[in-house]
Amino acid sequence: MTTADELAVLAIVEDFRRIEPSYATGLPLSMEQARCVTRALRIDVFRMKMQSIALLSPWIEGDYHLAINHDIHGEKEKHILLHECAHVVRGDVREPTRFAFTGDYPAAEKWCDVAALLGVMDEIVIEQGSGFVEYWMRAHLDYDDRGWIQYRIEDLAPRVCDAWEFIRARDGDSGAAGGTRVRTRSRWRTR
Amino acid sequence: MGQDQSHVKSLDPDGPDGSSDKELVGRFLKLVAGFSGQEVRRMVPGVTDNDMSRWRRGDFARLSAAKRRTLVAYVEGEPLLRLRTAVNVRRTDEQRASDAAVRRSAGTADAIIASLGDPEFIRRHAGTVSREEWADFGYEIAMRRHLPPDEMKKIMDWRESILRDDS
Repeated sequence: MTTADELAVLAIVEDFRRIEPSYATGLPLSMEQARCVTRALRIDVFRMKMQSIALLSPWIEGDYHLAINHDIHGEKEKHILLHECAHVVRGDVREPTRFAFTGDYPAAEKWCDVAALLGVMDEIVIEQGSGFVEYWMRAHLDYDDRGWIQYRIEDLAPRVCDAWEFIRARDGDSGAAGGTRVRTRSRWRTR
Repeated sequence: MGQDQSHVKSLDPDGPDGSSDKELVGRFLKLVAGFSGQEVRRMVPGVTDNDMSRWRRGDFARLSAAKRRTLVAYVEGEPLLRLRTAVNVRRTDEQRASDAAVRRSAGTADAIIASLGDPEFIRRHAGTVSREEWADFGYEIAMRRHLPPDEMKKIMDWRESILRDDS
């Protein structure tokens, strides 16, 4: 965890922890906790029938609006909520609209994904047929269709594991997580 | 509305943070927009329901030094600390907060259009996001913000303009 982008992930985690102190401590957030983060950031979430996974508005007089595909539920929905919250705390959506139509935020997408996964998953197992792989492929089918950059699991998962390791070491030293020890069981295997 | 505004002239134009009372209260009200008086009282100790109702009526009586310090600390304070305080307040009464958010009708069509982009821009750049979906998105936002009919008309025009065939 040395590059500016990687440090940016930790900054997102810090910001989330101000709202949810248990964020990225090794236990996945509940859906209610994820919704709590969106409310704290004043993101109005609603469902919409559409092809896209989600649409996030820029800041409109104090509020953001997030439309989530009406077919998306469960873990994927939680990941989307946290991913979009990460965009908000990074400030990606302060500028009107440009992000949505130019799709030129590859780094932002990557690091928002990493930050969101830290709040959703308690372990990363890269094996064919594993829950994580299936989840990731489903989550990104839409990106393929739309020509967005899609991060390979093999690229992304180590970043998540690195971030967990870094946070665990830091929290262990400073007790920053209120004395909670990380109980993440990160495993990184490839075939 | 018919209130005596003469006291406004007596406001301190240069408080310790360089803002007048009216400006300071205005910035404060913007930050707590959408929260009830009771919630604000819980979020910002030192501010009373009475203060909130007076300020929201536009009655900016001269602030005491202590009240000014409270407002300056909140307005100038760390944004995320404010959020954390806000979410803690909301957690204690989530249903009511949710109702308040739904009822909140701040915003105008112009604000929505300024944020979502003018039709020309969208028509030029649509691709990664379809312009149909973006137009629907704007419409849904307007509905959720309970815009009055004349403002909704602007949104409908914006939507039509996005969807209009280029040919």
